Amino acid sequence: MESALTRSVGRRYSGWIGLVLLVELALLPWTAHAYDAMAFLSHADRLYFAHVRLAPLWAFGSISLAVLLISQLPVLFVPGLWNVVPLRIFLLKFPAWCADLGSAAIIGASGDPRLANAWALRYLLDPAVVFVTVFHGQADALPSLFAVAGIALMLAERYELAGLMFGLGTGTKFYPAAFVPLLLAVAYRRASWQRAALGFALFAGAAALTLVPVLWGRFGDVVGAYANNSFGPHGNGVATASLWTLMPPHFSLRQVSVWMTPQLEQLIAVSVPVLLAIGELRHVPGRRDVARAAMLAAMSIVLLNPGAHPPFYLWIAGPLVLYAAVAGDGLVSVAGFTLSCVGVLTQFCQEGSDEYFLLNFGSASHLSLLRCLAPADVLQTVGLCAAGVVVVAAYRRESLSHRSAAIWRRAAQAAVAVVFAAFTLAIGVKTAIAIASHSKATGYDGEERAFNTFAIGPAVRQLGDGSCALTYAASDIIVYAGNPYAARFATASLGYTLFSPETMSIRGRATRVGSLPPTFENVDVRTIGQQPVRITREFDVTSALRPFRYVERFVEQPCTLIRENPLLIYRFDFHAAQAAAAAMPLLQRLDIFARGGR
Amino acid sequence: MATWRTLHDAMLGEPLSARDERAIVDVLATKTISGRILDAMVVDLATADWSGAVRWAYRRNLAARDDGPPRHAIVTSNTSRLIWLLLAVRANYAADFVDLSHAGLASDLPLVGQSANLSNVDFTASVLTGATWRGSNLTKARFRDARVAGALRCTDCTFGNQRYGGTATLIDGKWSRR
Repeated sequence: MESALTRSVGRRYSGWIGLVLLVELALLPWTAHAYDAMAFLSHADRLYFAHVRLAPLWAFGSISLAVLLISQLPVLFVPGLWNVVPLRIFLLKFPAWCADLGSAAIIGASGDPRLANAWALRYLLDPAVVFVTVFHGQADALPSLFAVAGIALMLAERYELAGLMFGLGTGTKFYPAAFVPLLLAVAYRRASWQRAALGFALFAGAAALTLVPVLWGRFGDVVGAYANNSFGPHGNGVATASLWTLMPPHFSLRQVSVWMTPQLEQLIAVSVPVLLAIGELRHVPGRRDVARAAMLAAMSIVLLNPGAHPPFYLWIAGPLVLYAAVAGDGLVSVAGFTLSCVGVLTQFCQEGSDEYFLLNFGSASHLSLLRCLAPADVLQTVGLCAAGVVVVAAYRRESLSHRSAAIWRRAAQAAVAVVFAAFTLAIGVKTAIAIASHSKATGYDGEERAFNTFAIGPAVRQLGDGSCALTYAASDIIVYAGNPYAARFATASLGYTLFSPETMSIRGRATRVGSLPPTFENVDVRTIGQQPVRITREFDVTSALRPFRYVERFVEQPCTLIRENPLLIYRFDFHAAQAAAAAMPLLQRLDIFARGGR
Repeated sequence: MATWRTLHDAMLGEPLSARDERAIVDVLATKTISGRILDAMVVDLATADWSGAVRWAYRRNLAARDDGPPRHAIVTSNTSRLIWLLLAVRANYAADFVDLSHAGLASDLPLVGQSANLSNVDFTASVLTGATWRGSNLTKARFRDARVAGALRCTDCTFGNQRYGGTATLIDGKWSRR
């Protein structure tokens, strides 16, 4: 009878899982973080239409790059699909959506078999999972699948395969490497040092194989991108999604002055997983110990990361729900739900509003249903409390009674279900209104132009005669450099906030800038160094700079007095590139490594 | 140049007081300053306090009527130039009201009305130079009783939610798309 009841409960959850998946599939095409989505789509477009090299401008591992390119392959075969944005967003998100399914299945299989579907559903309904994969369009679900698989394999004492999973996860997005110290400690204590070494070797081999293709010759650029993302352009930023937001940068401790720099905070974040691993060396860790340590390691590299972004909260969801399933700990599940909500709400405060996610529909009227509900310090205080509950609950000696455990588990299920229903209903209503108002799907045009405009500020050196040497260096950015095929569709211009007549020596040839083809502009650009600059006048220097180079050196006479002037602005015309690709025979179009040209 | 450098460093280092801002605008209005330095000063003023700088320049432009010739012509010309430069660097998203009514804004600057954000600017009864503006945002801009030497046209300009690809002409204070 019990098994019949279990099967009945399992079938009911299966039904709910099926419904959730259908709803998510229906919503996939319509929303995305406009800039992030356009960044991903542009990366594929640059390869397929401009034949640029694979790795430049890519700051993650090769697995996520491969998944992106495969997802956008239809555009290579049918160039006309290039501006069918909803389809492209669906294709972009689909792999991550499948990865979430995989993580849910692993989580379900790791705990009580009677509650497999319940825990799988809990994971799928987690606000961070729904927001990042279904709504935002980031691919954090991919490395999360490898991380969850690695943790589950550790629990199953398959340490070598766990190392392989963490290696592949690191080759997707770097963070799964944080679980390797725990792998070494657990494998050593529960098996042998040889198995720990083999697990590490498989991790290192898999990570190397999947990272070398994107890091080779670009290590400095990737580290620079990571530092900019983590610490801001000035190296002193703390993200509002990080718990460090609550701490003042300077305080006194027993008359000792303490400066908390973002770099120190990052060091603390990555030290915690190591300390957790060392802590497991004190005994032979059980399944609950391993799952708990993995969960806390994930929390530390997100919540204590000074450069945390809201999508990172998905990194916590997998290990947290996995722990809750293994330990039968519904209280941790509830606290984890709260933490995920904090991450999502932080995103809406950072980006301002839901309109940004609905650029599919251009300037349709928006209801502003999803908005910033509280300032960052309030949200992070709630996050800190939730994290505290997780830690205390996870370390308590006595397990909850069956009844209490069931109550908390159901409470968490109810909470995620209510939030999922409200969130998807809001998005569904907004999408339906936008479609009914016949809005044009042109909202992404501006994001595409912005993403494919590279504005480089000059490094200025004053020469003695009133002139200045201007150096424009952006080695990883000018992906059209040395590529005659792509250069046909790229333009270069000098951009001025306000223009006064001057002479510019370009590649040894002195030119009156005022004699170059001019345009009046009204643009606010961000330079590679994240400086905002207003441009009112541009002068075309395309013909003078083809073929493009990674570094340009000009001499300006007289020196301009305005900061970041003139900018050297590179633009890429994807309309022209796509049209040229569409006019080619298929076999010629498939040769994406051809880089010659007139 | 040394004076500009000193002013530039001061303006970047501390908040600009209303008295200092007015004094800087007065100097720009009454002195002949090289184009390079003027451009740099405009960018610094706009960075420090765009709306305040426009307001002081506008008031000095109106007050120039009380100046006798040739100072009247010099101040009107300089403040007109200053106002148009400030309008050129106005943020893309700005839509707050800017009062330039009855101002003498005749200017031969090439950038006048070119891809400019002129939304919610009041040109009522102001003096403008006939030209063809291009790509500018004229949403809620007012031109009643504006006096134009010649004809003022606008091509590919934005009026409210519409970007009009053709050429509109200012006739009796209203833009006509004939």
